Amino acid sequence: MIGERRWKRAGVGGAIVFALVAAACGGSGGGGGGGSFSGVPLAGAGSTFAAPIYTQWAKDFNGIESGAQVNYQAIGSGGGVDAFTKQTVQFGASDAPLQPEQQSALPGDAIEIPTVLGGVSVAYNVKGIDTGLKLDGATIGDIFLRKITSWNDPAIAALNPGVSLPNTPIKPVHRSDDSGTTFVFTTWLSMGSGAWKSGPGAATTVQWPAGEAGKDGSDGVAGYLASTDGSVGYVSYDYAVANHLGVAAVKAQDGSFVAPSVDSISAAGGGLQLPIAPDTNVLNSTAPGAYPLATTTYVMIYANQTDKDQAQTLVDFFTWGLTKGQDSAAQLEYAPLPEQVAQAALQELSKINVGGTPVTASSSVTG
Amino acid sequence: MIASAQTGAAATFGRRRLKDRAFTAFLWACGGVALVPLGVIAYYVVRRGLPALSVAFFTKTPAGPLDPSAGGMVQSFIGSGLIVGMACLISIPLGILTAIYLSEYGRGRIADAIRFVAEILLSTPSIVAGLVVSAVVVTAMRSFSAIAGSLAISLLMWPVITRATEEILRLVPQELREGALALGLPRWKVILRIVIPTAGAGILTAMMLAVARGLGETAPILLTALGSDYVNSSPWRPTDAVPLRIYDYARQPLEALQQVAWGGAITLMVGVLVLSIGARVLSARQERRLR
Repeated sequence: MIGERRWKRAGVGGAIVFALVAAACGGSGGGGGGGSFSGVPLAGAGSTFAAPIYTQWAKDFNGIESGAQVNYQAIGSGGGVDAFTKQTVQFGASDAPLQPEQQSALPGDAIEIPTVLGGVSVAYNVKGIDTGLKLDGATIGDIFLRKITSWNDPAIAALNPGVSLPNTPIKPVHRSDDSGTTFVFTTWLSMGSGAWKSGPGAATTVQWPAGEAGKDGSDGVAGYLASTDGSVGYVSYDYAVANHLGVAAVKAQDGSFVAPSVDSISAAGGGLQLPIAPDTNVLNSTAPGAYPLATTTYVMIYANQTDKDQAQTLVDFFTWGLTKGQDSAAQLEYAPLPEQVAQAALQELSKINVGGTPVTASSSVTG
Repeated sequence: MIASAQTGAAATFGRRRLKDRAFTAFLWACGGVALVPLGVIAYYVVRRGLPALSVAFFTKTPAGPLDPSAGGMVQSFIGSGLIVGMACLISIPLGILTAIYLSEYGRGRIADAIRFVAEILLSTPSIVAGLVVSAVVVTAMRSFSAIAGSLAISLLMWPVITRATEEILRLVPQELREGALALGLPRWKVILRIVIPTAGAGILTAMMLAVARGLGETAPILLTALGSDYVNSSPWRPTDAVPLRIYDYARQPLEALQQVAWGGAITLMVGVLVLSIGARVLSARQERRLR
């Protein structure tokens, strides 16, 4: 806290400075000194999708290591990678693995670990159809390509024997803004629908067929779905839950139909192999019971650290997050990592060292 | 002949009067239209922002995603104070000294160059200032920090103070300076004892305008101070600011956080309004004094 001392030395009087210093003395503990490690402030930035869980972890972790103020700012995955590359933050966060050109731009070796899982649900609102309608990639692709325009289309009927489908026109809705959700959804469609791959393709925003509704933000799409009969769209799982929307059971690799749930999304993480490769994703996971439209999010940390206290706080924070912190994942509508993946991630975390000496987690987080 | 000329003249005057009236009405309408957006902004911000104001709003940090409505934005108020306070420490002395140089000594190429630079900086988009400081200071320091935010804001405040103070100093009558010099005062004493006290309120106005500008800037702070969920007093660490928090929360899907953003908007608006009105009152008083 050299900064504060300089402040005082500069003789900047007045109530503001007094208040600031008082607040700082209450807030920051500093590392080392007197028995157990109390952590130091950390800064992290990146993924908007992961912001709620990291913010919640930071709150909870502050109760364990009082000096560890983990400041996470959701500036977007791209911004997170950029700040991490410039070393202006202690950890970066991104919804996509580092690409080869991003890796070569890094000043040192970095570890990438998955933290939680999420799902994109194909949500609909059709009078007369309950939740759990069965759909596959090709059919959903045709719906969004406007090749299938009615809910009683033979292609939908073939997947849902015994379900009486109404003659309601299908009203697809998509995100009009740049969106990671759109990226996941269109990437998945490109895997299952050749027509989609050669048409709109996969991106954070694509050329949608004419006549489809476009809404801003997940809340915009969810709002449209909630109020429009015959509508179908894609929103992250938490929005589908919060808005009580019907969600489709999507055809998995083994031919079964899987509806999104915390368990089925969690299962999709089962196929994650560490270390994370540039083409790692959890879409169409072959793990048993896995929901096909699952996503994950990563944090990046440099393996070779220079500041001992910062390294210790980083290891403690993410060790806690990968173990006890997984409990709050479900509360925030994320899915926790499968046990063996969390263990593999902890293994990655053990690569963090200061001058060659590995940093092991404090007893306060492992105990 | 005469009669018809008179009726002709009357008709001309009538037409002119009509045109005059119509045009006056038109200008009034324009003035009214110009006021509409201001009224709408004030009405909307007050209506949405007032319900957000509470003790927690001014005393608590964000409560976390599980219970977002329980938090406040005290870290943003303190952060804004820290960033703009340090920006004042940098830009006010620098700005006033530059202005004194320009108005009292500034002749020739150097003065023209300084004026030109100030003019350019004055019209530089604020995000550019943020980008430059981010590329130079943040990258070199390996950390987002309050001081980086202050430097970016200083780049925006300095030209405001310099140009406004120079204008004010030029308003101080030349006779005052000549009189003092004739009585044998050295030049520096004339500036310190005569020119600056005479222009005092005007200089204060310049400062207030600059602070009002600094308080409302979002883009340069976003790129330099990053933001924070914690109360921070260290110039070397990431720090929050009110406009940053508004920008962040306004884009959140959660109603509770949007509410807090409106609360931030109303406090920021009132703060800037107080500064602007203060500046107007002081400058009006100043003008009366100099006349």
